[in-house]
Amino acid sequence: MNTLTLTEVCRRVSLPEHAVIEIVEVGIVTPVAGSAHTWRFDDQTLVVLSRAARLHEDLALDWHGVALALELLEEIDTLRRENEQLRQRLNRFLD
Amino acid sequence: MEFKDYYKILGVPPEADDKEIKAAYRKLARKYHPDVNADADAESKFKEVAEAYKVLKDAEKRAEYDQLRQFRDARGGFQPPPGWQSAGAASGGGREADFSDFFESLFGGGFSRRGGPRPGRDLEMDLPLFLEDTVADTRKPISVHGRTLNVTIPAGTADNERIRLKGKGEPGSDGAPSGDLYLRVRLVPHPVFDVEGHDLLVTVPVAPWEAALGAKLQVPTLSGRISLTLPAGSQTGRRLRVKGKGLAGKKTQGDLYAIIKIVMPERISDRDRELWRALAEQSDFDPRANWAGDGRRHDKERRK
Repeated sequence: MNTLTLTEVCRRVSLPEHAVIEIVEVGIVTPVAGSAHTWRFDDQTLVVLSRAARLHEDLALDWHGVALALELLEEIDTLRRENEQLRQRLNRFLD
Repeated sequence: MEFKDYYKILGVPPEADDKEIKAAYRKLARKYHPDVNADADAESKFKEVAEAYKVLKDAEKRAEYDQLRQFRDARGGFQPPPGWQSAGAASGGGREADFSDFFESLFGGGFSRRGGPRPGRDLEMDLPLFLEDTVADTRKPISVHGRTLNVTIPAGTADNERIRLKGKGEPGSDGAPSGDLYLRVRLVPHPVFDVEGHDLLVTVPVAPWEAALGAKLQVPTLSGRISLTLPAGSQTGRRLRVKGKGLAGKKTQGDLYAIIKIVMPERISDRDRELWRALAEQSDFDPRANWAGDGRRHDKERRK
């Protein structure tokens, strides 16, 4: 698997190091290996980081707020899809 | 050119103070932010709101904008006065991404980002996928910003999984590397099968006598029909497992579950009715035996 260093991640998502460190601290993303300055991130992290950065900037949320928003958005997505699937299964029994 | 009424976009009066403008922007941004709202028109709505806020939150830009509002015509058109030059506009600046022509004509370059090479952004989009496409490696054409990419979807790709296409995101500027494209797999609802993890579910209608006596059933799978034995005395909802006939996974192979659904014939003949009546007279089966009398007493018992 392709992994990225903290410096590479910062460059790719245009965030300063302290911001990415804070994002890791609040648990929005988790490095796949290493500690502090030897952190390695998998490339899927970039999508989450970019989204976090946009929410932070555009909605003026602090990183804790971003973490909460992301968790809730993920949960809404999961529930919505699950609801769709269950509704479809239910309809097969009612039709 | 179309005149953009930034006050109207934010839903505030022209005399609104900074606090009102900020509050209005925040509220609309939460509603239309494309990371929050998946509607097709949310992104363009958000861009409009962000553009309006960018101008109105800045005292200098707002003053210029207020001055220019006088030049809009009655039909909503607009032409900047001859010789107009924004105080904040830097000559030769790059074009700010995502802003309207109206904005560019007023403030073009004024807010431009720092120059120099800049890597392209990563992009993320949904990839609707048919269940049949996950059985074997599949090539799919995908249209991104006017380009068509032929993407190989590996066998066993699951719902919600992300596929990374390196360098297929937004192009970088001045020779900087392009961003990546992430495709998020969304399995499309299937007319016959439902998905539960890697397992497939298929609802199998059976006649009451098949459920009572047992039967051999022909059941569809993603790879043709198979024969299944329905045991005698099967209830609606009973699951019959067919090992290995579910979706392919990276590590595991899912199973297929046939879910039994007992259905009544829509029309019955006189002869059928006689047979049912004979059965009704013979049988001592009471499907509501556990209700033990009327509903009220049942309620009382539960409350005890």
